[in-house]
Amino acid sequence: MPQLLCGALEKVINSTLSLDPKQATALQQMDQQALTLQLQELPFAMAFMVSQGQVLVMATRIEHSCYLATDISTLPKLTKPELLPELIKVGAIEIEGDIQQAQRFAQLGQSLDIDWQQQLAQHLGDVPTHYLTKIMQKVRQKARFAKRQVEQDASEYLLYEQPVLVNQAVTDDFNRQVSTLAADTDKLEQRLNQLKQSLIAKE
Amino acid sequence: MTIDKNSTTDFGYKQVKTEEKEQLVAGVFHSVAQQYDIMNDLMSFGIHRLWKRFTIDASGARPGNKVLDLAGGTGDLTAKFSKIVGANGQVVLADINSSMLNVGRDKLRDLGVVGNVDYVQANAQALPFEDNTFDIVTIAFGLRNVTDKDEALRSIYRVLKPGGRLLVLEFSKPEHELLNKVYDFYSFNILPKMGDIVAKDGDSYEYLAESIRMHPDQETLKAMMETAGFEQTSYHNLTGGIVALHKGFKF
Ligand SMILES: C[S@@+](CC[C@H](N)C(=O)[O-])C[C@H]1O[C@@H](n2cnc3c(N)ncnc32)[C@H](O)[C@@H]1O
Repeated sequence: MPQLLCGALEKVINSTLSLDPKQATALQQMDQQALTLQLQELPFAMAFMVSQGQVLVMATRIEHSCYLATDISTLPKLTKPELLPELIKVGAIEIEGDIQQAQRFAQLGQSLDIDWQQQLAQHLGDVPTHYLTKIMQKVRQKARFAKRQVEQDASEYLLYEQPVLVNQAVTDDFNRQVSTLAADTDKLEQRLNQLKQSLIAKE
Repeated sequence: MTIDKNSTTDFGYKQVKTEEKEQLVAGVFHSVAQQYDIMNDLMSFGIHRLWKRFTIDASGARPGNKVLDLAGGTGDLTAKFSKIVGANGQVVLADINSSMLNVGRDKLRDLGVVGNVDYVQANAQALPFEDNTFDIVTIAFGLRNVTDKDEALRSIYRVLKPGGRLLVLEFSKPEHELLNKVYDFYSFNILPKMGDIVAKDGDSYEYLAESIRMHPDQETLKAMMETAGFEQTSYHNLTGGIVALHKGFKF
């Protein structure tokens, strides 16, 4: 369910923001601004909206907001304005609306020093239910799929597109992280199963 | 609708005089108000938060909108809407029950949600707002408690702006028989016990379980919305149809 991911993202982003007082002014200037992000790797759009010093994350496309379609590997490049024309030209990103607004979000994202994998695993683990088992299975399938997809895309990109842009080490690292995430969800699922068993045993 | 003094209506599985239901429902929510949020988390394993998120995401709310969170209770949806619509927008938290409204008001104040939220004690069947006032009306887990649902839907239709939409989040009919059985067992055996232990109020939670079963299923509610005037109606099952989100527009 996309809402599970958005809820977890929202928690992680805001708890990190709250630790960094420097962000307050940036957030104030961005109040009520929104960015809709369509990542190639995800089957749904996510909207990020700044409100009262916090970031809301929703699984929706907000009309009249800046719209950005791209893939995970391109995301970090958005903070470099000089790369944008090229990225647009090669079709790595598609933008509608205010480009600067998209960049402000990208900058905000970059300034957040977040260990995504650890944080997400932790927050997703918060949702206390046997349901999670099922959702986790789906997440894991998705993660595996994303991993395959990224590997495939990356190798094609390396072979046919611009070899200089994709750094092999970066892709490897990302793939490793995806594998660890998949392993983590396995562990979590086991923990949940144990919990379920012990609950059943008690009844 | 003419009120027939002798007419009866459902209160859970019991039949009661139509004019009594409102008071009985009021009794239930006065008595659960304080523990309401905790029980929600416990009973649904926290999943109600995802159902509510889904509702917000589907609402299409944006800055400047006027939103009515009807039967809003302790204000979970109001809190989110307040942030989205911003200083130029407005959210009205309306509920028939003063205890629920008070708990909601205190909670939202603690969360720092102030400024664009108004609190109104109101009956969904006779909303005290002008015609064409709201861009969005939501009613989450509220409609099944309303005595005359058709009248409530008409009243909601009236206060929506043309182009506005209604979102009804409510328990519904599970899609699969097996899930239905598990869910029945949970609702009638485990849920009232939890209510008894945590909220010291098993009866109220028995009513909740019964009222869920008496509530119209997906297609029936969709048809009721259409009868009230809503167009482009649709619904989306959540968690296997235990809950459904209905949506309809006024044009
Ligand atoms: C189960 S609570 C839902 C609260 C909140 N929307 C949520 O999702 O957490 C149902 C609420 O409906 C309210 N209610 C019942 N009948 C009503 C009516 N006729 N008009 C308005 N509110 C009503 C109750 O007072 C109660 O607060």
